[in-house]
Amino acid sequence: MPTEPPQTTTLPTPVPMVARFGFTSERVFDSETLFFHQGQLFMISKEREPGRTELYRLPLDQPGGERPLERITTLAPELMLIADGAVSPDGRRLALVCRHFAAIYDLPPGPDLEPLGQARPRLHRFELFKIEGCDWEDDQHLIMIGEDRQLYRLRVD
Amino acid sequence: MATPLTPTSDSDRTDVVDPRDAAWIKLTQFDWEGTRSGADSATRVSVSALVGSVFRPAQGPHELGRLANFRILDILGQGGMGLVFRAEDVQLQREVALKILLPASMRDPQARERFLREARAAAGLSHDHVVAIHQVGEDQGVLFLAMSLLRGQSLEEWQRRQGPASWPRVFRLGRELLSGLAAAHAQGLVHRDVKPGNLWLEEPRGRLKILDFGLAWNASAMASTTQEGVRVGTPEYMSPEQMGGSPVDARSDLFAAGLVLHRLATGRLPFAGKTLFERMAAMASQGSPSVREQRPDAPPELDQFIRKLLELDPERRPAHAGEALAEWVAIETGWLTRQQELGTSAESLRQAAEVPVGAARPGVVPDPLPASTHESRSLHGPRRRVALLLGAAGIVAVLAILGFLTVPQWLADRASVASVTTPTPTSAEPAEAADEPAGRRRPRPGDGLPEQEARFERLGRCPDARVTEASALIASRRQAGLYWTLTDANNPPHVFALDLTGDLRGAYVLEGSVNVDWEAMTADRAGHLYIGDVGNNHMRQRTRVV
Repeated sequence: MPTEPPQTTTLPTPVPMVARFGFTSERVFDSETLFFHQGQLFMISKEREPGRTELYRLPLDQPGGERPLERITTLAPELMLIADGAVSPDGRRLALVCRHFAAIYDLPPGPDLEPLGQARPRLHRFELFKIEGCDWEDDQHLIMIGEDRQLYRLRVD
Repeated sequence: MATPLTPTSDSDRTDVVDPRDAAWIKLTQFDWEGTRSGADSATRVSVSALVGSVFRPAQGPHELGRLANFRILDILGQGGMGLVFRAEDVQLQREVALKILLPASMRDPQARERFLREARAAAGLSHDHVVAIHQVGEDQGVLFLAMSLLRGQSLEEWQRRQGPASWPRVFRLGRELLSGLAAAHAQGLVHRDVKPGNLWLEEPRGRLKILDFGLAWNASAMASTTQEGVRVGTPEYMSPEQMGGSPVDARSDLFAAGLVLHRLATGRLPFAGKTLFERMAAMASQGSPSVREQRPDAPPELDQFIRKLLELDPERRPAHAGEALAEWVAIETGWLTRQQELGTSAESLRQAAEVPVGAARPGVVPDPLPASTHESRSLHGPRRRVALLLGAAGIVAVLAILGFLTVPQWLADRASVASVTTPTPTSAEPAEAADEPAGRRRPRPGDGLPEQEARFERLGRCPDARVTEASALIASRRQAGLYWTLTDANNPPHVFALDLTGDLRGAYVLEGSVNVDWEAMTADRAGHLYIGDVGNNHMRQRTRVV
């Protein structure tokens, strides 16, 4: 355990924006996670009205312009309140965290993610803390951060 | 611009049943011609006249009129600078609380621009304990804000009935207040009118929401175009520097928060006095007031902390709410730990911290806009009749999907230890489950999906206190090793890089970046960071992590 106070270093270099992509939608979306799969960028939106979790593909072929969102499918209704998600380093699993649980999907081998709409992810449910972010440490371990800045490691078999 | 209305006399008012034709609003500060009325010479304006002068004509039988993309449905209340209506956003088909600012208060172009600029900044604030502003705009010369329509009651109303709060409630409400203020202060926003009337307890468990960030400043700016000597804030909750007309910063909000907390703990406000002068004199003579003098069972650390917030010299207070919040949480954690050591269960402590808020009283709405120099207003006379009418109409609740309590760290620690190898818990939503009858459980998100045992370990805590609400986490696999990057939705857009290979003592903040509301991001193999901007309904940012 550390004995000294935590150190925070502020780096002087900003995070520059190198390109901008615009996307439009007829529906109001609330992007909660972005992830790459098979070279394609996907986004999951928490749409509270009417309360659905939608998967979109974001074409990245038009920097500076605007493209309509390409809706792929609606995810399981149990996934309302999604907060973040990530694809495992081997590209085989997608983890979505929804405040009090992590849902693990097996990703299809190809770029088409429409089958996720029918898939039933496995849940790992937690007590008491609220998860806001996640990513994979390796193919079996998911790192999560809670709303209270607490970090957790979840083993996923 | 809207046509100025002619004030009507007191004798004009009648007992009414139809809010469209005969409801009356008591304006305590400004009439529609821009001249200020004293608190004891209030002006009354009929809603029907208001509707005809400000809104476009109604397009249906159940609306008062139209403004921008809103259908005006009912009037909810009034404030120093404007009126609040229940309205429906016809594009998004959701109900909002729509604040209409009085045109007469907006004649100065610079003041209007300043109002819009600051209101937009406040609209960029997204936090569990700050009421959300959905839209800021102008239509036909009328400035408006669309905010979440809240259900519940103000802390002012709750406290008038309840008196001093229990310590679990004091700790919880204090934490939520400071948490909301911390998020705002981190964005450079100062409230300037923190008071129980601007703190909303949302149904059903009293989650605290701060109302009207940034608006007090604008109220001051605009009021100064029509009169001199206006001080921003409510006198009972003004800091000494506010009373003196000096520039104020985040520490002024903390003084007001100290007054709120002192009253929450004791049921009384310190520095009593009927006039501003008397209160200033009380401050000078009494010094920093003690909670323990009135409530001897007060935790000493809590007493000392509140006294610190109430230091007359701003230099002796915490610099901002983030600093105060860290201290508060430490005090709360220590107190909760002691209570548990004395045999009080975590569950009973958690339940004791809840503030049950029943159905909204008729017409109870957020204090629409901050008062400038006036005493707190009460609901009486014609305004009460409006309130009763509104109660019959009913208020649709804001999307209260996430009404969970923030869990103290020691509870989270216990949970992680207990759950490393234990089966899937049956009550992941303790705040929800507490209200359920024995043997019944409310459906939770995720129910119906196959579950596996959750095997996890707690790694430590992100050391940077500026992270008030992490929103995304990504791994950046670079030459130097494995780093983790997270964004914070509530602070100015920072990216924090953590080195998990060590002991979490290494945390780096990549400053600068872009002004977007970050909730989603990912990185490609080349190290580009893709960031989603949810605020503008666009996915538009692509940045590179250096």
